Amino acid sequence: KSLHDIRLCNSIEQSTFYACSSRLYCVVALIMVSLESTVDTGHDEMIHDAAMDYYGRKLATCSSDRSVKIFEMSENGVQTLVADLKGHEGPVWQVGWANPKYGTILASCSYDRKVILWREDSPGRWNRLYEYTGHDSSVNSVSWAPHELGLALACGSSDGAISILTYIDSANNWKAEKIPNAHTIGCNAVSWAPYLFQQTERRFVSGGCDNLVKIWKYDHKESKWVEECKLEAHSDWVRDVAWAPSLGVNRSVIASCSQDRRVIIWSNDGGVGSTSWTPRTLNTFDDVVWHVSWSVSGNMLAVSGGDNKVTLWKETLDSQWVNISDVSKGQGASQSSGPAQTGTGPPLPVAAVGSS
Amino acid sequence: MAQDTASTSGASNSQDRVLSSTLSRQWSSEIISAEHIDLQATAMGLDCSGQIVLLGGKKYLGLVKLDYETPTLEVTSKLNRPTTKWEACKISWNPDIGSKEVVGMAWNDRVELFKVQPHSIASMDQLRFHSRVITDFDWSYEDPNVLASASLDSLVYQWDIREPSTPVLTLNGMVPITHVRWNRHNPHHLATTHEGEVKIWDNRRLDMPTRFISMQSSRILSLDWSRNSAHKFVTSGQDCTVKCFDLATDHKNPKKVLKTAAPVLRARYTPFGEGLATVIIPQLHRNDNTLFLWNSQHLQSPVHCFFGHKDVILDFDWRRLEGSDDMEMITWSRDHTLRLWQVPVALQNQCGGKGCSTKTSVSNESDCDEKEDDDINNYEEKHDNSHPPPLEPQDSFEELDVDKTLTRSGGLELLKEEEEQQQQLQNNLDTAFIVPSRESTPLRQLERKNSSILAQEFQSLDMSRIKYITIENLDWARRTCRLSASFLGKITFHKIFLRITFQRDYPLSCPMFAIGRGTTLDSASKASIVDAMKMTAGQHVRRNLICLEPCLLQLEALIDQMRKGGGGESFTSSSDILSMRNSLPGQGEALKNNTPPPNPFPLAVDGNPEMLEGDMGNLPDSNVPYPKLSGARFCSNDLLVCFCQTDSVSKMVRSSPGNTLILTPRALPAFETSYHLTQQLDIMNGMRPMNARSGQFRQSPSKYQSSSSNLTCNSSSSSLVGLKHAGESGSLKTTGRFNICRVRSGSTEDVKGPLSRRPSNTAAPIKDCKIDKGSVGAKVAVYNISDLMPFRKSLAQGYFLPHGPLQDRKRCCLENAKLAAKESYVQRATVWNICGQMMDKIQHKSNKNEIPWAVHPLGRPLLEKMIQNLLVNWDIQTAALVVCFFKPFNPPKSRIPPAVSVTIHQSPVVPKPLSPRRQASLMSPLNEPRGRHSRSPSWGQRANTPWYMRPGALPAHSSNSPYHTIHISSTTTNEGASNTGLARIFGNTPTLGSQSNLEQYFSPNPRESRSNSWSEAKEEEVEVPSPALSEEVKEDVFMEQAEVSDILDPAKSIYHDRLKLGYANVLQNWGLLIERCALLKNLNKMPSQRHIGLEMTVNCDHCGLDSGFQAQCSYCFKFKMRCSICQLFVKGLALNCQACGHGGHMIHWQQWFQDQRECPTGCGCACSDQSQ
Repeated sequence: KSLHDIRLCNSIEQSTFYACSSRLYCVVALIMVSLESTVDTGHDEMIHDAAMDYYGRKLATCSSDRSVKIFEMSENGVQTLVADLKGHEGPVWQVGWANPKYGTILASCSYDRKVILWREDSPGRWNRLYEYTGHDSSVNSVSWAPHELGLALACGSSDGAISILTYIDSANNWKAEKIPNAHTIGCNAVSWAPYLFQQTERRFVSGGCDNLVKIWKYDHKESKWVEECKLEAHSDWVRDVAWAPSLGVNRSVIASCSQDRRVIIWSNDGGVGSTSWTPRTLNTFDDVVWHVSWSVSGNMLAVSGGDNKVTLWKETLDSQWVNISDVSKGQGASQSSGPAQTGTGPPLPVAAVGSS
Repeated sequence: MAQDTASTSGASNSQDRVLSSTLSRQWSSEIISAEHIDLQATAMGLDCSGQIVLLGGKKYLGLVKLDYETPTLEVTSKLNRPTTKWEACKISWNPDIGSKEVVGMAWNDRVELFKVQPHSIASMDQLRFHSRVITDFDWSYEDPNVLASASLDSLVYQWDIREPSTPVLTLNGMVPITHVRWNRHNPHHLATTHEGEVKIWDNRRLDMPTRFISMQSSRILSLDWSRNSAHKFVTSGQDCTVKCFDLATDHKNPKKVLKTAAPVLRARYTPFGEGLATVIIPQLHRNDNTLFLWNSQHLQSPVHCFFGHKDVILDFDWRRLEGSDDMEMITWSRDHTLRLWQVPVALQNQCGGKGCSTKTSVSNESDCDEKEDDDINNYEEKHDNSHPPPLEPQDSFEELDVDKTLTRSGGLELLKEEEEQQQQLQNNLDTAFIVPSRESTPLRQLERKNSSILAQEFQSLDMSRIKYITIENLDWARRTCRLSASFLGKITFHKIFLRITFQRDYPLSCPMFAIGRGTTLDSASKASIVDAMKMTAGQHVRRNLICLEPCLLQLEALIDQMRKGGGGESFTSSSDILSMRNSLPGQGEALKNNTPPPNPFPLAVDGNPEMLEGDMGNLPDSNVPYPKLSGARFCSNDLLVCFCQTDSVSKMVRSSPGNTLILTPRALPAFETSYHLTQQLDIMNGMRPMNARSGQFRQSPSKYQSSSSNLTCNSSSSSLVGLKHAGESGSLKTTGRFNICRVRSGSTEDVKGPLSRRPSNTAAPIKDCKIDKGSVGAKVAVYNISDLMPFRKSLAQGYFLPHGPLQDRKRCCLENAKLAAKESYVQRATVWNICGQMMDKIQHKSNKNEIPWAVHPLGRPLLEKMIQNLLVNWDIQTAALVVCFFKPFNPPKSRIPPAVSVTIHQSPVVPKPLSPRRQASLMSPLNEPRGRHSRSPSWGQRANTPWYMRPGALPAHSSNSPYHTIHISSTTTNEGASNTGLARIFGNTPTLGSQSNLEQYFSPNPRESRSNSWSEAKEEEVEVPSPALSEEVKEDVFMEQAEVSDILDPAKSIYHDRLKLGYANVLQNWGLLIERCALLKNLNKMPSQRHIGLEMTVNCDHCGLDSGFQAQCSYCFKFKMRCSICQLFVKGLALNCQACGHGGHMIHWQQWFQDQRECPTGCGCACSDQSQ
C-alpha cells in the first residue's frame, strides 16, 4: 500500500425516509481516500499555499522563493509545470483562483505588500493582469468573492486594513475599497460568505491579530463596508477564517482557527442578517492552528497547523464534530477526545494513517 | 555570578540610556545621508584622518570629503575607471598618518594603489601577482609601506609598496583565503580565514601557521583583531555566531559567543572601549539592516542600534571628531547611501569606554526609596534591586557546546571581569559625585520622562485577562502600585498583598516587589512569587520593555497554579514556574513578552533572545503572522490539496518526552531566524557583490559544495532521529517523504534529550538546522476524496431529470432508483422509489375530492421530511433532484387576467372555514393512505372544520415569507393530470364559476409550455413588462391557493431554488454542463440577472437591416439565413461559425463537421478548429 493512502471513515448514508421514526439508522463504512498525485513543486523554499483551480486541473503553489508555480494536472496523475510566475519581491503567502467564467485568473499576495493578479492570456502564457500596491505591510490573505457577485477580491494585510478590489470594466480598471484599521495590529485572513440565490447582501469574514473575527457587510446606502458583527472567543491571534459553502442550504457557518490552538465553529441559524453567532470549539489542538478549509459540501473541515498535521473533521447527524482522519495508534485516543467522543452519536471507528 | 553582571551592568548603563527615545531598545538614525547611485560603489574606505571617503565601484571612484564642522556627503571628485567587469572588492586607506593619502583598492587579481588628494585621485601602482581573485588585503599597522593580500589561490603575499612588481613574502594557506588581517599590536602576526578555520601566522615563520583554530566547519564571514589587546580577535560565522577569542587564555575555543538571529556579515571592534559592531545579513529581504553596537563584555543585549539603511551595510568606519570625545560612524550600504551617525561619548561608555563618568542608579534608587517608601514598614520583605534575580539566564557562552572545563574557566574569568567592572563602577560613581552638575540636568529630564512613561503604562494596563488580582492603588507620582489578590487554594482561602515600587529610571531598571502584611502564604511561596516577578520584570527591563502587565500575568499564572496545586505550598522549583507559565493556554501575550527559557522556539533561545524577542514589539514584521508551513485545502469538488514541510526543530522538540507545551510562535521574525538558512546562503553569495559577480564562488564550487556535503554527512544520524520522531507523531503528512530534515552534528543528543525542559538559557546547542535543499521545495499531495463527499459523479451523470428524454416523471424516479441501487446506494434508491410512488399517485389521481397534497400525510409532510433528512445528511444531490421532480409544472407566471384573480381573492381558502358544500365534498370518501390512522379519528369527529383547514394545520412559515413567487399547477401539462389540488378546489368553490372557464384561464401560454431553454424564459420576462406591484398582489392571492395544492410548499420555492443552484454549481465543477442546464431549467424563478455576453442578431441577407431574432426579416419579410449546405432557408436552429460567418441547419452542419475541418463554402476557414 502506498504510504500516502489514508483511511478515513465516513458515515455515508443515513436514514432519510422513516419520517415517523425517530431512530436514526447509521451505516459506517471505511473508505480509502486515494492519493491522486504528488507534485514535486521544485520550489527553492518552503511552500505557503497550494490551490487547485475550479475544475481541479491546474495547481498553483506559492513559496518563500518569491515565485508562484502553476502545474497542469493531467488525467493520469502526471503533472507538468506550465508557468513559474515571478514578480513578487518577497515570500508569497497565498494564492487564489478566480472563477473560470472570468478567465483563468490567479491572485497572489505576498510579504512585499503587493497583490498581483495573473491571467493566462493564451495557453501557457501568463501575464500580470493587475497589481495592487495599496497596502503598507505584508498582505496575508486573498479571497475571491462568489462569482455571482462579480469579479471581486478581498485582501487582508498586516497593516490592519482590508481591501476589496472590484473589477469595473473591460479596460482593466479595478476599484479598490479599503477598510482601514479593520483589525488593529493586523489582519490575517479573509473569506467571503457564499452567495445565496436572491440575496443581495455581500458579506465576508476576517480574522486578525486583535483576536477577533469580524463580519463585514456592504452597506448599499452608504456604499461602503461596515462592520456587522464582532465575534470574540479566541484568546490569541486568529490565523484563518473560512466561511462554509452553503450549497443552497440556508445556514451560515464560519470556522476560525487561532494561535490559541483552537478551532471554533461559529454558527448562525437565524435568518438573513441575523447577528447572533454561537461559537463552539471544535477541538483544542497540540499546536497553533494555521489553516482551515471547508469542503464544497460544507460538512467537512480540513485543519492544519504548526504541528504539520492535517486532520479532517466531519459533522455527524447530531451535529457533533468527529475527526475522521486520525493518526496512529498512540495518539489516536487523545486526538479524538474532542467533543465528538463525548457526544451521543454512534461511535465512529477511527482508522489509522498508513505510515509504516 | 552571571546574573550579577547582568543586573549591575544594566544599572550602570541605565543612565546612558537617556538617549533612548523609545521604551524599547534604543536606536538612532543617521545625522546625514546622501545617495550616490551613479557610483555603483561596492566598497568604501575612510582615511585615517576621517576626512575623506573613497567609494569604489565598477566604473567610478568617488571621493567624498567629510569636514568636521559641516560635513556634506557630496562627491567632490570622481575618477572613471578603465572599463572592466570587476567590482571593487575592498578599499583600504593606509592607516599611517604619514602616508595617509595612499589608498589601496582590490579588484580581480590585483591591488591597485591610488594617491588621493582632497580633490584628486591618481593611480599609482598595481600589485599584481595573484593568480586568482583577491578577497582581502590589509595594511600593516606598523610599516606604512607594507600590506598583505589574500586570494582564492590560497596564498597570502606581503608587499612592500615601494616594490610593486613582486611580493616580498609568501604564505601558503593551502586552501583559499577569504580574509587577512594584521594584528594591531604585534606587527609580525596576521590572521587569515579559510572557510571554516582561522590561521594565525607569524611572518617570520613562513612554512606553517603558528595557530590554527577551527570553527567546526562553519564559514567565517569576518574577522577583526582587537584594538586593545594583541591576543583578542573576533570572528563571525555563517552559523549565526560571533565569537570572541582570547589567545592568551585559550587558543582553541572562543571566550564568548554571541548568538544572533542571522549570520553576521561584519563584526568589528570599535575604536572605543570594548565595543563591537555587527551587521547582520538580513533575511527575506527584510529591511533589517540595522547596525548593532555591543559591549563585548556583555553580550546579553546590544547597546545601541543604528537604524536607517535600506539594504545591507557593506562597510563602516569610525572617525573621532576634532576637539571632542564624540565620534562619528560612517556607513556605506548597498542601498547606495552614505550615512553619517553620531556616536556620543555616552554611547561609547556603554561599550566600555572610559571617557565620561556616569552616576549609577543604584545609589540613586536607594535614596529615593528611603524617601518615598514611608509605609515601607508595612512590608515584611524588601527586595533590593541589587539583589540578583534567582534565575537569570546564564551568560551566553554556557549555552554553547564548548567543553565543560572551558565553561568553568570561563566562568571564573567572568567572575574576575565582573569584579573589575564593579570596581570601575565604583570609580564612576565617585566621579559622579564629584561632578554632579554635569549630570543633573539630564537626570531630571530622565525622571520627568520616566514618570510620564509610568503614567502611560498605568493607563494602558489591560486588565481583561486578569481574574484574581485587583489593583488597589496605582500612583505614578509616587511610583508605586499596590495589588491584592484573593483566591481559594486547595484547602484554604488565601490573600496576597503585593507592592511594586518603580525606580526613577524605571523602564531601565527592575522594579521592586514586596509582599505585604496579611498575605496568607507560607514564606517559601512568598519568596517564589517575588522571585518569579523579579525574573519576569528583569527579562523585560533588560530589553527596555515595560513590565507591569507581564508581571501581573505572571502572578495570575502563579495563583492559578496554586489553586490547582496546593495553595500556599511552595513551588518545587523555579523551572516549574516557568513550565507552568508556558503551559498556560491562551496566554499568548505572556508567552510573547516573557522570554523565559524554555522558549517556545528553541532556536530563538539559544540564539540571541534579546534580538529576537525584544524585537517582537518593535520590528515592522512583528505583526506579520508566522508563515503557514502546512495546509490542506479542499479544491474543486472532490480534491484535497495538502502540503507541508517539516519544521524539524519544532518537531524534535515536540517529540521530546514530557508534555511541556511548545507552541509555534506567531509572528514572522521568529520564523526568519531559524528557517532561512538556505536562503541565507544564497543571500550570502549575493551579499558580497564582488565575489558573486566576479564568480569567485563559481570558480570554486567544489569547495562550497564540499562544505555543505560535509554538513549533510554529519547529520545523517540525527536526521534519522528526526525522521523517527516524525514517524512517531505520524500524521496525515509526516510520513517521511515530505520532510527530510537534516540537523547538524552535535545536536543529536539534544534531539533526544528533553530539550524543552532545560532550565534557564542552556537550551540545546542546535547551531542550525539546515533543511536539505532538495526536499525543501516540498511536495504537494492531491487526494481524491470523492468517496467522502455526499454526492457522486456517477449518479449525477446517470440520473434522469424532469423535462429530460424520459418524459414520464414516475418512470424517471424509478430509473433513478434503479441506478442508485445498481451503484449500491441503497438508501438513495429507497428515496427514489418512494418518490416514484408518490409521483404515481400525483399523476394518476383522478378523484377530485381527494385531500390536497399539501396536507396529505404522505404528501407534503413526508416529502419535506425526506428533503430535510437528505440535507441533514448533506445529500444535496438527491435533495435538489427530488425538489425538481416535485416542482409544480410550468408555472403560469404573471399571465392571469386580473378579473379572475379578484374573484379568487374573494374566496380565501385559508384559514377561513369553508362553506358547508365544500366541506361535504372534502369529507366524501377518500383514498385513505397508509399511515394516516392516527389522524383519522379527529378527522371524522370534527366535522365542521377539517383539520387541515384550521390555522396551524399547515406549516406555519408559509405566507409571510418574503419570497413570493407564483407556482400554480396548470391543468394542461404534457404530463397529464399532474395538477392536483387547485383546480379541484376551485371546481368545488361556488364563487368560481365553471370548470371550463378555469381551464381556459389556466391554460398556459403556448410559448411557455414549450419553454425549454434559459434564453426563452428570459425573453419572456422581458417581453411582458408588468408593473411589479400589482403582480405581487396577485402572487399573494395565488400563494394561498397554491399552498394547499402543491406538494412542495411554494413559500419555500426560493429555498428550493437555492438547493438547485447549489447542486448546479457542483455539476458545473464536475464539468457536467448538460446536466447542469437540464437541472436549472427546473428553477422556479430564473435568476433576475440577464444573460451577459454575446447577443446575436442576424442582419437580413436582402435588406441588410438588423431585424432581431426572427427567421424572417421584419422589413422585407424574406427569410434571413440560408443554409450553406442545403441552400435552403433556416427557420429554426442554426449553427454558424463566428470566424467566417457561414452557417446553416444544425443537422447539416453537424454532419459536415463529423469528418471535416473546414467550412463547407470553401472560404478556407477552419471552423472546427476555431471553435476550440
